[in-house]
Amino acid sequence: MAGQLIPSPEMAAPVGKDLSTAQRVELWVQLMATCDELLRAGLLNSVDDENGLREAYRQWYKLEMSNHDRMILRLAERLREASQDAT
Amino acid sequence: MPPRAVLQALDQIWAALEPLGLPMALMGGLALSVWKHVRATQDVDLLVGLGETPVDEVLARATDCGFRPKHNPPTLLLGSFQVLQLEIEPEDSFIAVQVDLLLVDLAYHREALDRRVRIILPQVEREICVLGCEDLVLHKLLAGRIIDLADCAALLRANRDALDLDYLTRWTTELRLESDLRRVWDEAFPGGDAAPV
Repeated sequence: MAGQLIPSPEMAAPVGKDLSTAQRVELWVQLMATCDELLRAGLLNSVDDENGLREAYRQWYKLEMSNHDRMILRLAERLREASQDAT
Repeated sequence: MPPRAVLQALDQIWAALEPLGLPMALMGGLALSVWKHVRATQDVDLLVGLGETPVDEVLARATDCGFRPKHNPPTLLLGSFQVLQLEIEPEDSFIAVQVDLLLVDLAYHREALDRRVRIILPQVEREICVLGCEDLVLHKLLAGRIIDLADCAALLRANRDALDLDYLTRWTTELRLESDLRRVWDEAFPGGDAAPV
């Protein structure tokens, strides 16, 4: 079943194992900034102006967070079940 | 989401809650980066050991510092686990960043918070704590989405030599996550050693 979630070790992108924590977080900052620029560029294709972009961005974030909220609920539910089983 | 907005939200919630003296640890996407798995994330998730502290006290501290609850009523109670979702609009931002507080008092979480690791993050003014790698793995297994399982496999692979396998297997068993761990272990180490559970 291997190869369904992440690439094999041979195919995986280098993760910078030797980087310090600060360097890895800096990498996260760069990744986030790039993703944000790409997202804005994509959203700009479907809106006319800055106000439209802001509204489209808010809608995108709302959708992202609703997906995240479902994950939190699932996590909480599984913890509740596990703790009930344990008692 | 601009990274500065997420880091600013983290800095502000940490500053707001630190005076309560509760054990806290960063979890979620930003914490993954600390443990050698860098991926984008859009919010801040904190695990907070509530103990005897009333949740209203946590909420009051947060709202005094500019956060607003996302829902009314503000907290969701699930067994001994409460979720308090907050929002804050950082400076120069047109969007409110979501901050989720997972308020816990289970034996497992007390141990997980005891093992939290202190770190200093760029653009964050104070020292904060992050969950240990094994506990991030366990939470990712509990969350259970494909992306969480992929994160889990990546964490295991990137931190294989430093993992506390006794701790990981003990809580994997207690939390009934054996089959989930076996699946991601096979992904992380195809053709390698069998999963420890």
